[in-house]
Amino acid sequence: MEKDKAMKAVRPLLLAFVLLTIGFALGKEMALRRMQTGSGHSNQGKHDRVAVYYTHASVSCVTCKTMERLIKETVVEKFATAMVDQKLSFQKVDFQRDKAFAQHHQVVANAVVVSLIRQGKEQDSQRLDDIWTLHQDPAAFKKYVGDAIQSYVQALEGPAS
Amino acid sequence: MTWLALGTALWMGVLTAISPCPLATNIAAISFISRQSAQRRAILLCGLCYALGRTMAYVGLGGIIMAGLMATAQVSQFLQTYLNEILGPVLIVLGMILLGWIGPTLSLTLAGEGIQKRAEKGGLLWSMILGVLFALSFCPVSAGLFFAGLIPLCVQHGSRVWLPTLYGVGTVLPVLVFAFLLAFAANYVGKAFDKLTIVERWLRMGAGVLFIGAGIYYCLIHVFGVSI
Repeated sequence: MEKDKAMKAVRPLLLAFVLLTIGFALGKEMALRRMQTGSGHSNQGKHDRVAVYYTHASVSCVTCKTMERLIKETVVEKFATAMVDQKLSFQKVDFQRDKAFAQHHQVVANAVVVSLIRQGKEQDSQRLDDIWTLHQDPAAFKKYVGDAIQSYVQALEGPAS
Repeated sequence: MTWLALGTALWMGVLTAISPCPLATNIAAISFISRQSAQRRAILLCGLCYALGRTMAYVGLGGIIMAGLMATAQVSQFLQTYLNEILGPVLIVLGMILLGWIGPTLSLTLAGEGIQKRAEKGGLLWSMILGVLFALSFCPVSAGLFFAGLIPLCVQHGSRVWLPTLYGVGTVLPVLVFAFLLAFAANYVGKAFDKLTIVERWLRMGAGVLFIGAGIYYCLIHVFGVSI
């Protein structure tokens, strides 16, 4: 029968794909564990600055892209001068790969992390989780993220604690 | 606890369900629940067991985190990384079982000759297991809304049961509505043309094919890192 023939042809292929997937997943996990020698994000550079990180999962999604765009717009619209003066940096971090960063900032999902860096060392940081409840209101989202970054920029310009 | 908190939890659940990222698992769930279009009771029970599985998973997870047994970040990281990787191969195997391509002699067989008789046994158990499995396979949106939205809300209101339960119900509502609509429409068409058995067989096969498709999609996205 035609159906039996199709089944006989497809079944071993699917089972082979399942085994290949499991093998690949195990190999990938082992390689990732070997590579976890240090944090992937760059904290190098001795100059003082506010670092803004957009933490995201390895898999992207429509909402994730919307949030990333809103964060970039906030940084460009409100902190362009600080960016040019190298007082502010923006970076994306895959929290599923950079486990040291995720652990340090207790990242649970896509979020914004704002960090005050003086002489290459992080002095203070804040994780902004409420982006998940605000992403449908761009104005509120940008105010929330912008205000948090602004307070850190002001702290950077003030005396070192 | 305020009505606002209760409504927020429910709404966050609905938002999770209607966002595109858990679409593959939602389609698989819809096809699984609606596959026995002729038996309204079986569809209803399957849907309820699926809802129960999902809700139990969220309540359990919320309870573990709120009791301080595990850190939110730890749980979130683990589930987002590993559950999605496991889900792909599991869905493919389940799809093959639904099609009767493997395990026709297993006691928990989902398809095959005895499906009608076993529907209310194996079917219900598998609906619940699927509910738990799909709930724990967090995609970015569900992880964000659950770990960064719902858990802080639960902590704020000291709610270990009600808010996670409402969130779980919210994640299930759109799926159940679609599943029931699909099943009843198929039943209507089947009865109208006197081809109920054929319609049911196609629905079951469709469920199997959708499971395999969703499984391949999950493998490609979460294991092989293909961006689609």
